Amino acid sequence: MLKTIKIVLVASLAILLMGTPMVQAVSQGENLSRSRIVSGLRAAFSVALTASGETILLDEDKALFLSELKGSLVFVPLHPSYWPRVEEFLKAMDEGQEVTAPVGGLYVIEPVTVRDYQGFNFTLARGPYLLRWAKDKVLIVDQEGNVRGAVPYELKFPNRLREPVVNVDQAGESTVFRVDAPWIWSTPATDGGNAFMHPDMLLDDRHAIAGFAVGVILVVIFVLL
Amino acid sequence: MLRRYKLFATMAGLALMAALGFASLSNTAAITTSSLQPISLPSRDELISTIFDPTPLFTASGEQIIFDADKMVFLSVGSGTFAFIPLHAAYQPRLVELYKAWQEFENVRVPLGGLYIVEPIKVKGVYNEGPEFSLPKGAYVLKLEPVNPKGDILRIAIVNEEGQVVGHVTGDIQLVAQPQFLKSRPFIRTKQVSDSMTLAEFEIPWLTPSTVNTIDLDNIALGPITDFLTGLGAGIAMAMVILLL
Repeated sequence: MLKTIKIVLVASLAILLMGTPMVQAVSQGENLSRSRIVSGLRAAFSVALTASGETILLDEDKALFLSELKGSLVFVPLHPSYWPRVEEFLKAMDEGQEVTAPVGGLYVIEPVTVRDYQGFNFTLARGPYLLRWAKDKVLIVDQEGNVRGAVPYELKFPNRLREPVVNVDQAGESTVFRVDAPWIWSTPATDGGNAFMHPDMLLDDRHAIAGFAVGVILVVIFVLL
Repeated sequence: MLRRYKLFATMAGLALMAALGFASLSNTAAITTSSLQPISLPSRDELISTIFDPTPLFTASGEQIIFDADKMVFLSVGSGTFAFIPLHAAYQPRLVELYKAWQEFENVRVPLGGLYIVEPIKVKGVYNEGPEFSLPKGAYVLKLEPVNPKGDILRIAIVNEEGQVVGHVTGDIQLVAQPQFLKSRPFIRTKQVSDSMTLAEFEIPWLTPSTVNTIDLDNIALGPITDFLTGLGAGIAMAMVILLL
């Protein structure tokens, strides 16, 4: 009887001691899962967007997470329900107002050094950032609303991108990340094939876009040093 | 005596309940804490250690293949989450041996790198017309299939941990004329090829110029070889295409 009691005690102690590590071991393998990445981004950007004081809807389900030797970056596109608001920003820019239009979110996992659109370098610490189109560049804005730097971009239309795509390449010692982001889809649906578009076209010749394009893609270019 | 046993039994029962209660409480506390704290995104070190540590990675392929974890490319998009792991430079001598045999149309498969699937994905086979197949979570080795002397399409086998070929994807051998243009690590491109299909293309530096010089490039099985390449110390890159559904 005493032996049985001892066994029960030892077993209960074993359960207590072993239970937690087993749970941890199982959950560690799930760290890389898509749902975990999406949840992590939601949590990070909910704080960042609250701090920015502006309601910007991001589509974390369509996030693009890329890790390679130079660093790990996540691009989060805008949610389609936010595109009409982007068009309002573009209209305001067209009328000469000093505004910038949101492009999406960027999460930097490891600190990276980036070359800006004028050839200068700046660093981005780990954390969430918002990307905003400022006509001649894309601004990278931190949680406090400070512009940390600006990178070049291209506009493309039309192409019904359902999620961001990426093109990573080596340019000398640098690495170039080009992220094509689905941006505005609300213009009439006629397929005119892929084409590059001059930035002024987006603001000054809206009829051309309306007649041509099913959407606008903004290609954000990060040169990592 | 019996009373003493009963006392012991009661104490043991209470201890067990306390132990289980404490265990459940600590788990609940952990869950509560994790739901309150933001879920951290995996760092590059965590990616590498998670993919390499708990998995009997690539050893089941039947031979000791050396992979270069530092140069791993990890991608997560709506269509799937996976990593490509290139071969390590230390594996080059063995790779050259296998490649030479492959060029002579021997029945050998030549390793290209490793693939780690985080979530099950559906893949379209060689040349888009190929059959669909699914890749469960796990580690795979990518190997160039043997070709026949009359020429054949280049097929890349996806080999699971049991050594079984689970499907094929397509690829190309690229000869890089200038050694300095051979890239230092793999690069990835994704493209949307239809509303339901994403293409992931990897460019993989494969044989460095020094090792390529030991290979008779005129006898390469695929692709037009121009004479000037031999004298320049060119490198060989592989392009691999995965169509995700």
